[in-house]
Amino acid sequence: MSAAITISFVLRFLLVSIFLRAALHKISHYREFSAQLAAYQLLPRPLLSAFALFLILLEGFLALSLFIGGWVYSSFIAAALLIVYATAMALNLVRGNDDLDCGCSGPAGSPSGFSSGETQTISWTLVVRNCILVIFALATAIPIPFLSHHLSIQELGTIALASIAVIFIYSSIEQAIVNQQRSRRYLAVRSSGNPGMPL
Amino acid sequence: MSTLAASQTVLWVIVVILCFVVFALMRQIGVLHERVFPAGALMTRHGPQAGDPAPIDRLVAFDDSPITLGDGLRSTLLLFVSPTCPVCKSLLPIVQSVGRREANNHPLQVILASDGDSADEMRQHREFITVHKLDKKRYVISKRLGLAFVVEKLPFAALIDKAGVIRAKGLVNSREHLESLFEAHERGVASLQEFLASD
Repeated sequence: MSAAITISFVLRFLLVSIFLRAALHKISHYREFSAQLAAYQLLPRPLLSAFALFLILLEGFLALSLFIGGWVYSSFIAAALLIVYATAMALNLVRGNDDLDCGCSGPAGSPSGFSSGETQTISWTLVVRNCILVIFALATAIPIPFLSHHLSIQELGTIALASIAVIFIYSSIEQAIVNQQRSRRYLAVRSSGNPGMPL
Repeated sequence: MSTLAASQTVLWVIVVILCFVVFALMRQIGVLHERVFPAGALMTRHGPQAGDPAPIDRLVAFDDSPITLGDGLRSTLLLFVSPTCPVCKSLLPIVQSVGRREANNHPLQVILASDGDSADEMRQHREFITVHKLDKKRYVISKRLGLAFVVEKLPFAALIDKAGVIRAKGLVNSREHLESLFEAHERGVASLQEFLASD
């Protein structure tokens, strides 16, 4: 088994976890998500709820098809979706509309949920993050060398454990981004008394 | 099992555990940030301060009925919101429950204030009122009011006593922020920050 195969599998499972978590998060906070989508000010209002539903279904589908594997276009669709998200964020950042909930997913949200009104806001860090994920998605599209045999139990174990480790590391980085935003906001409050709380 | 395979297995298990620990630590830091974040509503230095009389005391509600701030009978919680602000929406049920609870202690009216009177914005206001089951008698659209209180960020709240004097004000993002207004009022300080600083 080559390292390329392991990496390909691991990256795929990382993307699966990201999309799965994003879809589940959007379903469980559907109303907030629609509001966040509206706040991006990129879509006409009548299309919003349909598009929100479309995104959830697309993310769910991507999670499933990437998990099963074998359909190379799911990698391209994933990359395209991530590019769309990055562009939407970049557009709003350029417009100066940077007090915007990312509406991303998972651990990026506040640990105690939406109730505290604190979630990840869009930033260039997140745009960069998405660009890196696009590279990952495209990497999974590279055809892996022909598998001459079924994966052995050791190989499967390596892939599974490496995937779990990478998913944890990714989640940690996400959480670190949130923490950094929060501490910056905290410092702004402490130093000026006139904070830039998100709208 | 060869020594190499055994050590490989052990190493993998350790890597996964370590990744999990790093993630857990990150979460802990996130929770910590949330806890240490100033719990009081965040003061702004602009506009009328606590102790000043409310700059405007007569308002016209959405259904054209009159509203008086400081009518000698009850205090007023004035909350500035916007149909396009996600945090405001998450705050609405909290405002209602806090308002009801505080009303048990002393008479209180909760007024929601917003601005924007173009045809499109009025449609958004109507939708906002219907979706969140708001009281049209307690919903004000007045740009003048927002300007008078120098509202820069939403959701912004001001607590005005029976006599029409501002008792506490600030940005409110959560239940804690909102409650801190009442707390500050009862303690006779302009904000919890001021209270803490006086120690």
